[in-house]
Amino acid sequence: MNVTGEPIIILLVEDDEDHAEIVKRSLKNHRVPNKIRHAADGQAAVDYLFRRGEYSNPEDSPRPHLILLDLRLPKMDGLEVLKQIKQTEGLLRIPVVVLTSSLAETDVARAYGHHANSYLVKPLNFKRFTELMTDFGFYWLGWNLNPFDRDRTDVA
Amino acid sequence: MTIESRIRITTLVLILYAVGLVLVLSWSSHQVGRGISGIETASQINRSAFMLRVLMKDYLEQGNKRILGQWDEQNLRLGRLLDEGQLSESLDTALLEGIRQRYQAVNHLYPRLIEMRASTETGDLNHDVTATKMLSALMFLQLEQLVHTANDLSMTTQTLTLKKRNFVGSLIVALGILAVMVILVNIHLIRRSVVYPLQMLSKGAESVGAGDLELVPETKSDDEVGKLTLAFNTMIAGLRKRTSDLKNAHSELELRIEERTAAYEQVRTQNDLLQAVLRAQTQFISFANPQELFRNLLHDLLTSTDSEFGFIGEIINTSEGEIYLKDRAIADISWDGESRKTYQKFADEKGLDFPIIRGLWGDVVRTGNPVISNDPANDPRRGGLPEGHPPLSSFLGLPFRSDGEVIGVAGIANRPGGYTQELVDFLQPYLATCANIIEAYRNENRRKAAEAELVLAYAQLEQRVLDRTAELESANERLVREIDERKRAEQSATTERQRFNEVLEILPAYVVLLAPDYHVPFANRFFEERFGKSGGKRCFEYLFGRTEPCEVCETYTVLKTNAPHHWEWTGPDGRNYDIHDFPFADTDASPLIMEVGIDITEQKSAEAEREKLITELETKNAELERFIYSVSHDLKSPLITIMTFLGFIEHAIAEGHTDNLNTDLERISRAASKMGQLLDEVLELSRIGRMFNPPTEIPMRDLVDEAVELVSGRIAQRGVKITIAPDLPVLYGDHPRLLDILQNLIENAVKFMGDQPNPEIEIGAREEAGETVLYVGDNGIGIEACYHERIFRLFDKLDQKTEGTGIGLALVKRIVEIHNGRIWVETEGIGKGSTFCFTLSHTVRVDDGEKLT
Repeated sequence: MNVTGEPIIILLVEDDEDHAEIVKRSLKNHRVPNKIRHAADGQAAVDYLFRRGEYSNPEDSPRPHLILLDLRLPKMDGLEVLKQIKQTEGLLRIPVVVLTSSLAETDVARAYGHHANSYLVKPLNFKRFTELMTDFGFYWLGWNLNPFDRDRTDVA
Repeated sequence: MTIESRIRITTLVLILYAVGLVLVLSWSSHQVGRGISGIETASQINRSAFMLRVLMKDYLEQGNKRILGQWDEQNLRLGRLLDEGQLSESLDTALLEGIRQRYQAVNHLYPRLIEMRASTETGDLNHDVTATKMLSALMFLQLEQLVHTANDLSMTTQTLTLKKRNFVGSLIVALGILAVMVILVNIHLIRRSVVYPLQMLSKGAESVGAGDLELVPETKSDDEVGKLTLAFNTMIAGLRKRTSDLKNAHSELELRIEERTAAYEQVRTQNDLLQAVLRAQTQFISFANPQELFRNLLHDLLTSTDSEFGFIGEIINTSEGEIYLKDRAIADISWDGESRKTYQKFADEKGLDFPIIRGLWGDVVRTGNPVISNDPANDPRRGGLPEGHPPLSSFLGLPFRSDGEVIGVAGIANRPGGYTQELVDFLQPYLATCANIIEAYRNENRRKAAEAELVLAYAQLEQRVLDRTAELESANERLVREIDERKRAEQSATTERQRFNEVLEILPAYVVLLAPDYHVPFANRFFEERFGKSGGKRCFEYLFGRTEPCEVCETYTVLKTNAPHHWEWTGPDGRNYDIHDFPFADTDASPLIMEVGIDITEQKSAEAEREKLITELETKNAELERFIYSVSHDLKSPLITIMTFLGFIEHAIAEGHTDNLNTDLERISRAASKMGQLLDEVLELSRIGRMFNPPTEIPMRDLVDEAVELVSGRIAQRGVKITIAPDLPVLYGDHPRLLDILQNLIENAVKFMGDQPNPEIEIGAREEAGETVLYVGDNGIGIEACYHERIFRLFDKLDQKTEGTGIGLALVKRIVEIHNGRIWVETEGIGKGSTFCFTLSHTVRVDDGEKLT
């Protein structure tokens, strides 16, 4: 929570509607207030971040404090999205957490190679999935100091 | 401004002034003349007026009618005068006008008065006497005023003329004064610009005459005098330069005389030295005692260099490699008792040997260069002085060289002021002479020794002739034996050569000898069997029928490098040869190339085959890896959905919330069926990898018809127009799989028509770069260039919402690749349709039945 009490905005980039629902449900009643914006493919995510097309109004498409990114996406894959974020001066400080079903070593290596801030694998087990999302919430939305939370005092 | 122009201007001013003066004078005399005539007229008017008054008075008192005649005369005269006065400019017009009015008034009154007077005299009582008197008085008054005004006119005219006369007088005086001033100013200016500078110049000339060249008269103006001054200054500057040039020339002359004197001195000393050299040569020629000769040389050297004492020695190289310095002359110097003895010993013919060469001497011998040391006591090269040697204050060591070798040295010491390089240069002829003498001396000695040797050799030769005769006899016998042996050896060599030829002939490789002019002097059987006999032709002519050497041939590099060369060659028979070229000398030592060629065609094709297999295997492996990756990822996704939503449901039931139950169950069911579909397709894909059906020939047209039939439902539903090109080729491959390709591509085209109002699909074939390209084109939504590769990847869909699992194009690609073909998409971008092209390279037959390879 930031000092103004406004919820943290998360951009969820996920093509699988069901998986997106899982994440939304897991974070809905979290103690850290948050708002989820959902992009269903890589192109939509990039359009949102660069405020193009339907996302051109900053009121409706606020800059996210955190990005949850799937790797295997239609149109533009997750690595390309990551690359564009980390090459853009205005976006590269937004923490990007990769959330994918891939355990492949090459995916992990390439994600960190493009400066991903964290790499999480979707667990097969419900309990573990909800645990992961809870912990994720505490870590990334609570403990972790975000570059936009300059005036945060609750961590100290 | 020049003086001439000044004088011109002055003259012009004076002329203008004179003309102005004449004009002014004539104008004023005219004015004065007019004034005088004005005075005359005015006084006549005055007199006439006065006369009229007197006459009127007389008439009125006397009543004499005669007076009236005078009056008329006078009255007429006044009228004429007044008319004249009106024309004159010098009379006051106001006063004249006043006189004229009075005159008219008098002439007006006059007839009435005469009438009145006449009636009074005739006694007519009707006439009032008083009226007559009043009229008379009026007449008088008018006349009185007439006289008065005429008098005023006369006075005024006189005053005006007087004024004019005075003005003209003062004008003349003023002009006179101005003329004097102009003349004075002119005189002053001429004096200032001519006389003063001329005085300065004459002063300057006087001082130059007195010898002072420093005075420079000032030049301020640019007139003639200024130019004169400038010329004068230039002249003085010229004089100054000439004077200093003379001074310089004088000092230069003095310097040259000094140089000439010094040169003369040098020539004189050089002459002395040359005379010494000449003397030495003469003495040598006259077979003087060498000791004497060198002593004289040393004496001359010491004298010409002002040295105190010195030394000349010859270098003797012993057979043991040691170097000795043999004294040829030594100056008589005051050593102590011991050295004096040594000196005496030296004085005989044999001379004195110094076995060790070191120190300053050693430096001269080792380097072969002169050594100058003007502080020998502290010189790092010094080697110390022997016992009793007189002290050294300066030293010069000189080498005598012959053919680059140092054959002798001269050392001189204690020249006042030390030694210089110039001195060394100066002594060069002397050094050369000494070297010549030593060399000649040596030659003389050698000649003597040689003569003695010759005598000895002659005796030895006689003995040797005797010995050799005996030797020859025995050698002859030996030779006969050797000839026999040689014959036997030749016999065996021929056998050897035959054997070697056999080897060459049956060798499973070719061996040829090539000449630098490309002729083939030798070729073994293998070569001739493969390529025929050369028949005296050059290699490129009979192998390839060319007129000049082949560009790709590397054989002849051997001639340049003279080293073996290894390369590969494709022969005229199309086979590959591993070539080894060696430099080779013919029996007459002329250069040849020996070339050995081994047929490696089979080896090479096996190698290529192996590489192809490896590449294929690598491609397959990579494909498998991609496949496993996609499958694991895509199969895992629905599993995650199923597991997680099951968890949610469990949780919800436990807590009693059943709102989402139905949708969650639906999600699970959807995921499960998707998983089933994926598994089916994966199985299908893996089955394609192993072609079940044996390849057959199928006309493409039949396949297209079959595929269109399979998709006819969707085609009809979307209203797509299908165009099939005529003359389609005959395909060769797995029938059901080839059908899969067309079915999938047509299905795809229908699926991605977008909102195209006139959907069309064209199926055909075209020839491109020697291969048949088959294509299925549409006018649907098209594909962006960046996705041209991705669309063929397994489970990769551009739009998540479209039906299917994304396996279709991956499957098509797989089938095309199994048929050794390629597949790609051509599109001009979004909204411009796309064309899927593929080849089935080596299995495609054209419709005339001829097989393409």
